[in-house]
Amino acid sequence: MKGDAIVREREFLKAALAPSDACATIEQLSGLSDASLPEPVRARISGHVTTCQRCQTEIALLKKFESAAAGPDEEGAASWITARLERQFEQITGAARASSQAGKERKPWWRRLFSFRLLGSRPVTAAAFALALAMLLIVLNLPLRNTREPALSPDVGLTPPVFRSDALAVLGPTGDLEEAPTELRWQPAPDAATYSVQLMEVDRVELWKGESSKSSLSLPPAVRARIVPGKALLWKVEARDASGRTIARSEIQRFRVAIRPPRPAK
Amino acid sequence: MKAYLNLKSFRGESKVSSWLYSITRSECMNFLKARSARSDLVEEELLEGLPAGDGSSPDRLLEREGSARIVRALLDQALDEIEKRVFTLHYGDDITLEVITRLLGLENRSGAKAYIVSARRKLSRAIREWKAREQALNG
Repeated sequence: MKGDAIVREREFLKAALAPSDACATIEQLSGLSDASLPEPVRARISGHVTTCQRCQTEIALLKKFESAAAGPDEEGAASWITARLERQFEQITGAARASSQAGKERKPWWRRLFSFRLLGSRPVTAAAFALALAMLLIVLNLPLRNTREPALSPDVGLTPPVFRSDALAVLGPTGDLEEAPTELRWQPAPDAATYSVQLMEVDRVELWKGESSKSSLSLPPAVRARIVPGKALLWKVEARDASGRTIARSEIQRFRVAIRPPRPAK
Repeated sequence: MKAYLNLKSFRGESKVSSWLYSITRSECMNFLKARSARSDLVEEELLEGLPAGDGSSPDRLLEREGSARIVRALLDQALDEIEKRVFTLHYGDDITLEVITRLLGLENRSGAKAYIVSARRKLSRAIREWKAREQALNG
């Protein structure tokens, strides 16, 4: 059938254009342009890149990323992100850098952040962060219309104090699965009035949350569509009493839909 | 947000920009893979005569790997730089033509679609010529 042939052709092209073992990492491609790679590696990577569409495309995107300027719509959000990154940088790099700068003229925040050099790195500009945002917006197809600060997920960072009387036992899904689950299930907790469920990426960023008065909760189709083979996700459930107080909480569960082997040819 | 949450994983062994690019790229790809990107182009079969099967037996696997090498070489010879990038992103990473247009900043009227159409035409012609040469040599 012609449709099958086109699907097979798509799969073939995808495999043919997939990165090979010889393909360079992003750090190596980046090092190629600023001469920071040691010579034997540089020669090998250069030789490979001249014949590899995949690596050539990656270099083109990386260069575009590094040289981009923030659009008027993106400046507010980029500033917000860079301000928080700067704060994190300062926490990580510690007081030594802060004390070495004591007494010196205070530079603008963006210059201080990006003039920070790390093991041969060269400073980047705020444009890189702006383009990171722009790339996400392009992909998400969400035009940025205002520059209000995005809200941080309440579970990011330190876990709020909860006085647990018991752990909540989870029934599933956990571990490797054949297909995307349709619902999340757990054992009922005594005195629980509602259950709050949170589905997360592996870095604990919330993907979806829902509430139920029963000991299960169906996953909406839009959420199921985001459960793709090979990608691990986390979830947890909390039981609350009639006053809204958390009375039990499950351990964080991890599950993943297995990647299926390709179907044999007809 | 991802960079913010993963900042402690930044070990200073690479440039901030390439580290940030890696995170952004990975996030975009995860999002795109969760969304089907295969519905934006009506296609004709392109690789007629080349074994593009699933590699379910060793012979088929060898044929398939050989074909992949040929296609990569023909793509490299026949396509211009922008066509190669558009083709790689669309077929290699399942990125929609609309997204590629914006990602690469293409300013022509029909964006990446024009490049993919011309790339397919050139690749198809290159495959036909390659087959004709092979037949002449073998035959």
